[in-house]
Amino acid sequence: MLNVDLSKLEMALKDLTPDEKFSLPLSDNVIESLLESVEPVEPSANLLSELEEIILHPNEEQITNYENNSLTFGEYIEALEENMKDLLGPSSVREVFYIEVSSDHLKRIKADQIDKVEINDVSQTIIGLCIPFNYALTLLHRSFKVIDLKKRKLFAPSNARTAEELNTEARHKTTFGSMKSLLLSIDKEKQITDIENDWTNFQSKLRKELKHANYI
Amino acid sequence: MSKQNNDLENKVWDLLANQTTSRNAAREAAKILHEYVIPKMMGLLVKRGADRITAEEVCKEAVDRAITLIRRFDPKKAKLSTWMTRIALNIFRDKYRKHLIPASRVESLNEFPEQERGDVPTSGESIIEDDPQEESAFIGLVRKVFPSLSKEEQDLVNYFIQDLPKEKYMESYSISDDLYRQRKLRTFEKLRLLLTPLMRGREERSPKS
Repeated sequence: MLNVDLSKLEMALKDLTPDEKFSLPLSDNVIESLLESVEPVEPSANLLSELEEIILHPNEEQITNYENNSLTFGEYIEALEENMKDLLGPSSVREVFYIEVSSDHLKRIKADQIDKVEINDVSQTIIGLCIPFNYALTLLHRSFKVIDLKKRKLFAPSNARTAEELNTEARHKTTFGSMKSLLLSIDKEKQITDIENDWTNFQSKLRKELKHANYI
Repeated sequence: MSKQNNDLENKVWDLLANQTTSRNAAREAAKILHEYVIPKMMGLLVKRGADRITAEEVCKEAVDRAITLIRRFDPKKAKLSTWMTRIALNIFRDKYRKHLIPASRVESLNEFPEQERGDVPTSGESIIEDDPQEESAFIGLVRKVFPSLSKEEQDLVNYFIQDLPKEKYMESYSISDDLYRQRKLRTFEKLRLLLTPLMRGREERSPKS
């Protein structure tokens, strides 16, 4: 068929598979028209309560308290962990990744991706989340700093390559040992404003440590 | 959609954007979505090939993802239901292509052999990118030339493919029946001209039997 016949073209477009029919970019106009013309399918009654739970931000009350400084960071994490218990799934294929967090970060982490939260053994500001590796990478793409203490690697957009190149045990020991002591120096009982101040200090100290260990 | 529905959608958007702290408000937003938005979204997913259970799961995930992405939504550019539907279609596409939906849960799509299927992201909202499956030669070529059409022409082709009434298109672009016929002829002629050299190239490259 060296020339495409117009009527054959129309027929071919009409004969696309259901999947192919949605393979061309759809404008809002088209989607709106599709929604108007489609036969509605009634959702189950259960969906209503599930939507309600999705819409109601998890730990909303705790977050409000946290932001109003009436909860410490540690209490907030505990509340978060408590809330996640119902969402936990099997963790066999998951790893613990340590993630640098702020209150804003925590709100952006998808609870259903997290199996477990670890906090006290490391710090108040770097929390351990048991999440799939792919999700850790997704967080990394969203400018989270994901630190894998098990593998002793620091994943961060700016220095991931350097970290890989300099993956020597001695340097890791120095760096993470210093990091841990720095982190533990943050008072767990302090209110969030204080923690944030500490966090700023911590970051500058950490930067020095990382520089010292040739990470950056 | 009626003004009443638009008002309801705006109300839901407001509640989602402000991360409501009130259970009553969350219940109200859920009720609006459940009653007015989800049934249409599910209908479209079923038309797309999903069964009811899958359609419901995808809608739930779409709402969840919409909440995460709510700051990207601009009510001046699109309706909330349109935006959520786009997200739902992308989720379904990603799940389907990653074989995350059991074969028994995708009804009509399984009538077709894998090599005849193809897909592309329909918007920038897709979170998961995956490896495209092998697509049919024809849709592959149509996809290739599609960006060369204007938005009006692209819409016309999509209205045609989706079996949407031409009156909807005419209403959307405020054009008469005559103008629609002219535009359709022009669009398909353009598509034909764009496709012909590509198809000729394919035929010439194909080994002769």
